[in-house]
Amino acid sequence: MTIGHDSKIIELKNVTKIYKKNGKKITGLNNVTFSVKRGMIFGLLGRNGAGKTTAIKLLLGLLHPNKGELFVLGRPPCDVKAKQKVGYLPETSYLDREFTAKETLLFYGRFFKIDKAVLLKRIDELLSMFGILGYKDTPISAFSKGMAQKVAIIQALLHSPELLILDEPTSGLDPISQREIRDFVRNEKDKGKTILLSTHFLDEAEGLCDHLGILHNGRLLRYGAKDKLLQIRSTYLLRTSEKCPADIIKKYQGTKNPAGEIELRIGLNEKEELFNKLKEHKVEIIEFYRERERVSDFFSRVLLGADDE
Amino acid sequence: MNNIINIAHFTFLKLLKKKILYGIFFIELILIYLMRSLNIFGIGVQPLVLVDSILFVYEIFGFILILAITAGHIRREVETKSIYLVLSKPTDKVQYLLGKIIGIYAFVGIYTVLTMLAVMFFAFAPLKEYAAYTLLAIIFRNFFLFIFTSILIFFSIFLRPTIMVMASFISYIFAMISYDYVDMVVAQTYPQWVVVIIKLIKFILPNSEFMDIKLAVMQLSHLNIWYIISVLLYMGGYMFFLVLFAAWIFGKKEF
Repeated sequence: MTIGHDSKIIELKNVTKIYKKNGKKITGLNNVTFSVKRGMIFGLLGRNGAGKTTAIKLLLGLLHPNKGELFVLGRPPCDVKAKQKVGYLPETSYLDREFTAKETLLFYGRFFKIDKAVLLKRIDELLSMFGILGYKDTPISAFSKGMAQKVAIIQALLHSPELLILDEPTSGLDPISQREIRDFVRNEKDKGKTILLSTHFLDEAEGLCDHLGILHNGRLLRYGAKDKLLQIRSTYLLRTSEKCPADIIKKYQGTKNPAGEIELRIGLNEKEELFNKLKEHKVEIIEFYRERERVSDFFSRVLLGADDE
Repeated sequence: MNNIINIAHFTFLKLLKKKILYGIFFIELILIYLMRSLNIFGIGVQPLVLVDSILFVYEIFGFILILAITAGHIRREVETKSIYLVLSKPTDKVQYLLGKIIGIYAFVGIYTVLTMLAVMFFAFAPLKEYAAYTLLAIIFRNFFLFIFTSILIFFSIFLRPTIMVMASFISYIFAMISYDYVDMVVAQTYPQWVVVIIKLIKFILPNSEFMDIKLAVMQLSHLNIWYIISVLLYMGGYMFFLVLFAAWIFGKKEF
């Protein structure tokens, strides 16, 4: 089957997965249906045990559904042709720590039947891109968690996959490594890659994803485009320079953001009065927009609703 | 096939990096050297006793080595989830298992070659005319070790390491007991049904006596070509069906 430009890269149709743990039957996924189109960053959100890892294992062909069907690039996940176009980054690197970065990447690269010279060149390119080329002959055991995670990312990129499945890619990393990995995800999206991102970090989903799915106890509670899922609020946010007078900040309960700018939240009826005051004090308005619900608020709202049911 | 070779190569390299395996081989070398030294100093170790001792040391240390390699090897990869990374690549569980098995066989093969080299280096002179036959006997015991490696890998697929070690020891002891011992000693002490069960277990396990040419070595008698062929067929058939069965079970497992 050929995959068209707007086609579904991932498709789950009424998928149910029940497995046994300590003799007890657990429903990992319960009648889940969703699809991910080419070029999307799809954020799979949920608490621990919500079913995110089960969904990823099904997409990798490590598990088989009890009911329903799923396709990766139009093929069953176990199909070798589908696997050739999928890159998987696990939550922790899972790499054999006694091997060097180069040995590890050569091992994973050989599965894609890439010519050795080409593969070695690609390994060097990617190691260089992530700033760890100098450590290619160092055993993974000597790497920090962030460096090991970079090697794990590289193993997922060796064959330039069309679909990247990232399971908690920034979990347990320091802020700089987290930022580097988020930048990498954005770059991959710019290159037209489709990305499925499972994450606990709701700010990460806010900044990276264009589509979201919320799993809870194996059920997909919400799924769709982020802009459509997040409610538009009745309040407005106004950002000004730090020169904003203290009395205005106090009156509108303004806060300072990390960039040092002042953020003021107002109702629509307060707009004119505030604009006049700022004009009077010659304070620059950087941005003014109607506020939208944040992903973290959306997540809490959906989960609280689910718990109430 | 490329995937199997890739996994086998990586498994072999992984085993080469395990220091404990060098420790096991080093102790084996010391024992071979000590036995040879006792022979040189004439403290009762005659060539035939030396042959017997070398084969015994090779068998015991070979068994410890394959136990150290296989106990929890695959299970550990499942628990550390490194298997996920491999199986997310264009390969499958059967290729993964076959690659693991071939990598482990290659390592056991290297252990045998190194033992043979050690015997040649340390004990060739004191073994005198028995030397060449001793090397041949080691190769035959290596066949038995290969079969036992398959059994241990089979166990490692679904048994916890501690239970697997116990099951392996019990299987090894049963495999090593001769049918004569069962008939002459066990049958005198225990009821008939115990003898039947032991013989049944022995029938399922590899026939150690069949691959033991110690007597031929000691008598310096020629080995019949049909015997050699039948041993090879027995080893190949046993390993083939065991690996096939293991691959079938492993292919059905979910992680």
